[in-house]
Amino acid sequence: MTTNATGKHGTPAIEAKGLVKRFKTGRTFIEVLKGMDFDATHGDLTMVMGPSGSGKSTLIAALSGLLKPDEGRVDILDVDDLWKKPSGRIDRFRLDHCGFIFQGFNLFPALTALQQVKIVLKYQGLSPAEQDRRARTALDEVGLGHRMNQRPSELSGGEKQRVAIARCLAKAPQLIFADEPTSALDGENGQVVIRLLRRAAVEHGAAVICVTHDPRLEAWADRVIKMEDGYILSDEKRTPDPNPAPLAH
Amino acid sequence: MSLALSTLIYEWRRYMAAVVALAFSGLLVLAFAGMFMGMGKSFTATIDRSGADIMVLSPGATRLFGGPSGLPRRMIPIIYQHPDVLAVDYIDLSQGRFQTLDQVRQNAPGQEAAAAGSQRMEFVMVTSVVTDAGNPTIPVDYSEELIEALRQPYAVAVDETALARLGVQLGDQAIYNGHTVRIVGVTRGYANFMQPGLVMSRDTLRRFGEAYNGPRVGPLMVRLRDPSQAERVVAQLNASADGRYRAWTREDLSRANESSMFEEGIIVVMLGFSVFLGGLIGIAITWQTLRGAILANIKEFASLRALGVGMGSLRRIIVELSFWVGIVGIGASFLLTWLISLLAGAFGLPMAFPLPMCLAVAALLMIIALLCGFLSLGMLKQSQPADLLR
Repeated sequence: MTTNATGKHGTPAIEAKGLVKRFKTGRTFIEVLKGMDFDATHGDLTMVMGPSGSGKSTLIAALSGLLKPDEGRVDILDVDDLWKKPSGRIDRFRLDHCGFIFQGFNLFPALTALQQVKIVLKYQGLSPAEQDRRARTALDEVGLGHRMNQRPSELSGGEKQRVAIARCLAKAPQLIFADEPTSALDGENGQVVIRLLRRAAVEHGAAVICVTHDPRLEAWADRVIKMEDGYILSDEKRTPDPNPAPLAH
Repeated sequence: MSLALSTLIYEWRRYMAAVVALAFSGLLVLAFAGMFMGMGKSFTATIDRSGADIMVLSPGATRLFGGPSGLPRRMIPIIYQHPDVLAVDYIDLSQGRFQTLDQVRQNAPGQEAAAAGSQRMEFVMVTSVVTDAGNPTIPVDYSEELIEALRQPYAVAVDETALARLGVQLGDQAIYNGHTVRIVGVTRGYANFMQPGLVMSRDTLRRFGEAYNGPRVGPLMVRLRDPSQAERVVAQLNASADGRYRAWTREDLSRANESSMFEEGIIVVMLGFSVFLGGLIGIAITWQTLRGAILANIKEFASLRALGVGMGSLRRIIVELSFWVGIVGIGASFLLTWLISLLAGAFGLPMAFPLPMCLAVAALLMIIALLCGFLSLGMLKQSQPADLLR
């Protein structure tokens, strides 16, 4: 699935309508998403906030092609109704356009930081030289230029999350989904991570959708969507704080 | 370096069980096969180190012993007719009861109690050599002293591996078929697992009345004027054989003898069983180890899937991983087998590992490893990237 969408600031990146997702527990179904509409634009850091169980993670799983919603459609970049595509095409779409940052870092213990970043680029079909160049650039960008040859066991939690971010950014994705990216980190490292996400939106024009329940991250957002019980409570555009208060625990 | 290989090297402890299981599966099969081949070698030792350049057997025989390999006596002059033939003689075997003198004395009247634990008697196989200088029945590694010693009446030689079993030492007297014999020599490298062997001169055998004088003799041992002409002479002899006999060079017969081992029913059953058992254990442990190892990295695989790496690519990683486990397992298996064969060698047990056999075992281990890889592919279904979101 090739797309010619360019991440121009302010252009729509995702438009989802009427997303419904139910999970079976025992004999009853729990409706986690109750007919949600959602949209995000390039160049924005969109924060999805809400208490646990409000359906935030399910929402980004449905938006990013990881979990098929029971109802509703997702139009993403120039792909109409993503969930109508075969799963191989959805994989390819994610490979070409999506980056993910999870709460856990999910790095292969055996690989150095550089190899972690390169492996995804390899599957994108880049030449070894190009893989190397982009991986080094991405690691430099997250401030790990000096730690490229360390394995996860030799890196701190913050550094591991930065490797995960470099792995995500090296693909130059137009869409970045982050799920509680700072919750396993201390304030200082959390700040580094959110700053990197912000930069991905502003400098690379990516649509960054960040799920969190950390209220201190709000200051960095272009848009804050508050969710509860599978509905959107509020959707507020804001101007990011030029000097946000430091994240400290 | 690929992800699979880096993972195997970095997390070697996790994969150790699989490698060890493969190594021992391979060892089980290799040690069994090597032992049988070693036994075969001890039979073929008589061929390999024979003083004969050519052996002539009945047509269709592929073994020197343990089959209808003899010929009518009138074939001897026919072989002599070839101008390059220097000497022809035949193998004469016998067998009988062997007892140590102690056992005999204890069995004398009044000694029953003492004999209770030692009522043991071995059946032995006797090979006779004609002790004339240059006779083709004398193995090339027999020393002049040994041949000289065997020329004495009632003198026998025993292989070092049979000494303990027979309960004798060099210089001892013993009883063979009721005749007193003396152990005058100890040979090396003629181990026989089926039955201990004695070597004596044809003259001693004749004194026991066991030398064969009938119309049919054992395989013919032929010495040539020029041993390097063996192949040509064999071809010429066979061209004029007319179905009466078949001539072999030493090397060809040794090879045929080795492969005919595998036509032996019991050996095939035992080897087949060891392959089955080794394979079963190898598969069970390797499979479970691979499953565990994949499960340990399941989140990492899930994150790759989230980033768009397809299931097919992940499957290839697993199969590659099992390939490398197989390679390391094969290496470890050969190393262990080598150590075991050193140990066996120290105890005088010959083991032999022909290349085709080693290749077959390596292929077996690789098949086991890859099969386990394929069996473990189902684990990847658990790499649900949506589970990483919480």
